Amino acid sequence: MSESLVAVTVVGGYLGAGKTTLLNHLLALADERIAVLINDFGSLDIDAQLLERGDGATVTLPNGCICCSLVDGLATALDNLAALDPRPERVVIEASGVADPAGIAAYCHRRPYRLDLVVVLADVEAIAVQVVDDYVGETVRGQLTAADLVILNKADLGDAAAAAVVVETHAPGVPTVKAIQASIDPRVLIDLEPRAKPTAYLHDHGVPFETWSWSGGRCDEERMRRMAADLPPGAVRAKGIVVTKDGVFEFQRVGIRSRFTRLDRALTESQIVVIGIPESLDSGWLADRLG
Amino acid sequence: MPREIPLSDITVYPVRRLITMNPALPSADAVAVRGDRILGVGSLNELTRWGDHRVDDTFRDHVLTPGFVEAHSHVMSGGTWEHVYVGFFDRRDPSGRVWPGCKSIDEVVGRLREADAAMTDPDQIMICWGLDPIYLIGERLVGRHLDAVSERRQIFILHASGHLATVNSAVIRYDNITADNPTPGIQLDQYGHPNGELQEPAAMSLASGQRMLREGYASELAKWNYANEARNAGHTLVTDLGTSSVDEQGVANWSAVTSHPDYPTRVMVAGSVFATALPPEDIAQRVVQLRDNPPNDKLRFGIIKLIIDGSIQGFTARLTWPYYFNPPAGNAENGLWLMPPDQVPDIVEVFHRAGLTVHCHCNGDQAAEVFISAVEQALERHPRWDHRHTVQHCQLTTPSQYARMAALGMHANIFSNHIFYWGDQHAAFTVGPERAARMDACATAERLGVEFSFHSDTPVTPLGHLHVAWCAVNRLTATNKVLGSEERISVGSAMHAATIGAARQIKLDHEIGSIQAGKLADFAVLEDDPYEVDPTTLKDIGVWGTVVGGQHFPAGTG
Ligand SMILES: [Zn+2]
Repeated sequence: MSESLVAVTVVGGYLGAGKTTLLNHLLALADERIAVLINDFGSLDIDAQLLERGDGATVTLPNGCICCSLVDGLATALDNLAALDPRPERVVIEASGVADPAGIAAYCHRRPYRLDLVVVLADVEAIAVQVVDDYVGETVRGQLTAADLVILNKADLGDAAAAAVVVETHAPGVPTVKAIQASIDPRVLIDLEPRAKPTAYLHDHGVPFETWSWSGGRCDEERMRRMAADLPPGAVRAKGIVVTKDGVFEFQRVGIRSRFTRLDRALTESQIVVIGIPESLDSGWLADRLG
Repeated sequence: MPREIPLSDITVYPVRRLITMNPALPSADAVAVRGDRILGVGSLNELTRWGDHRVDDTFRDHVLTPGFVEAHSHVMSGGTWEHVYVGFFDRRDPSGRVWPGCKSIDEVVGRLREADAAMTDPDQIMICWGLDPIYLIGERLVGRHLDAVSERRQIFILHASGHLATVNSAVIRYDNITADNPTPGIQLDQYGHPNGELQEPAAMSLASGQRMLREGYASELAKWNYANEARNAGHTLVTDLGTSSVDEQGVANWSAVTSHPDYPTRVMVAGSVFATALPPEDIAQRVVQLRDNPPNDKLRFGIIKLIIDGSIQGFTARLTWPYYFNPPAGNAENGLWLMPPDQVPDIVEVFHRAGLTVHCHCNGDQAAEVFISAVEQALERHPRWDHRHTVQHCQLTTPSQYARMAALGMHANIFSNHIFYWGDQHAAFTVGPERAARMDACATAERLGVEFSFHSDTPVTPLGHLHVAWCAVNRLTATNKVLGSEERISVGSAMHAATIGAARQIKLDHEIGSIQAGKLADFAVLEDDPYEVDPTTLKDIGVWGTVVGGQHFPAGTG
């Protein structure tokens, strides 16, 4: 059942943080049919060629309408995309610079969608000033707390470690990764088994990620849930199938959100894959908890 | 309604009193009309000298003023009347019928039963609006009350706040709204099942009724209802401030209804970055083109709507320090931006350079600061006279901001109806007594030389400048307290704001807004004289209807 749902990625962050750059990376790397919803006031910087290659559609939302209950354009736009034939496999929503990504994410549990990832970009040069600004401070802090993952972008231009402290102060527990030109491992952004194009699109200085996996037979449901709760923030994404005596569950984790969905399938083997910042887990971590 | 067929080219109307809003001749006994224009103002004797004419006595006992001009209103006001009204207060629909308020859950259910019986298709969704649970004593209305009306038909009730909906089990079932859906705002009953209340637009949008409401806002019937509401309140021009797209389809839809000879009002449609996906440059180009070549005489263009912040009563307007007075626990300190403040100057500059007038929604004073500064920057870079950029709502604009607006040639459109509808709440909760007393500061605008109008923002409050003027003149709240006596204005200033003041900020004052030779024959026909009645009864003056371009439109006639 879950295979037919359309994944939604929400890309947030204040003006100039690199949202459009990230979107272009996503389009270049993904081999899914991606539709893009853009909610901004400026002109479009999306690489149209990338969109065509991805077989997707761009829908430009009425500018900024996401926050305006009078217009309620996001619900309409998502309903319209769901009606496309073929239906997109993923929708990426680029939020306006002042949009609350949590408010956008709230719309992404309607049929046939599932919220996959809320990624918020922070400009390492500007974030420390933005979070205390009298005009936009509260907005930017709200964006950080709504994130599953914060990308500390422009890491070559500023002090990424200091920016990480700023994020941790205002959004405790939200994982952060450094990036240059919004370039990060597509497995984090899209899926654990990306059908990513084997191009050299990733910059050499893209942050390396590490994966951990475990497979085995039947597990205990209680232990499985405890494992999910214990995963550290650096374990940015995880997924798998867990077989218990009461049934089969699909396990998904993005950022610090974990979700178990009961599957109507007869399987005998459990499997978990985790991707994250190097050294977030030691090699026996999963086996210790599940084996 | 049969149209008047003039016996001769010229019609002369003797009236009880003609209030012209032309300072050179403030008052007269008669007005002469030729075709759709005013031929002359004066005594009956003077006007007969224009030559062959006919005297029309229809308004002999009435007071005529320039037709009221509403420079901030929205067409969706008309859309609501396609649905069932279940609000607490009596409300008159566009046909003139008064719907009594529903004072209890039983009366709400009774209204729904009548509506259900009147619907022939048992599977058609019933949409209702205006419910305000704070006025309904006793238990809260939930889905199971609606199930008593129908278990089969979907019933969707939009609350007066616009932020809540209550639906019956048929909706829960049909739209598959489940307890484990992670959308915030799905309320549950004591057994953990959705109880039918959906809070905030994300949850509300799970119901098909919400989508139908959205679609209805733009319908042809909504546009007719809107114009009939205008006519009933003496308005000869209303705006559609940012709710319609100015793309080809949006303009064609408006053009189709307004070109009908019996369409009873003029409409100024603002271009908006919020109503279309067109880039600002394209919107500017289209609006300039439409301004210079209006599709017909009743459909006008030339202004742009922007929105910077939210609302004060929703605690989402952007305020300067010390922010909100007594907000609900857990509320954010300050409000929401609807546009990045750093981007406002760029967007304003696009429309400023195109020669258009920018009307920017700024409820809070921090939002006003951003817009005023953006206009200042645009003027430094691209000096331009007579732009008339307007701060809309302008509710907390400070005296120093008004002084800057005056220096920059900006106008204000002030949300005076707030004093009555939310004044008590503003003093108690949102901004506190001191700032509440200086809200919607018409007198400050006047003192500091800012040209201003005021508005209803319908559907936020009901359309009608007699009520808005009453608010600006008396500043009485719903509990009958005077809020900010120093900001009260005279009846004369209020009449100015309702007519020529509003016409100026949409740059139509050469055609409408006062009664003088050469202008369009657009009148509000009143049962009494605003200058003579007790000012506390201004809102109660009866409205016979309007004259638009010389054509009579009596109130409450279809
Ligand atoms: Zn409005």
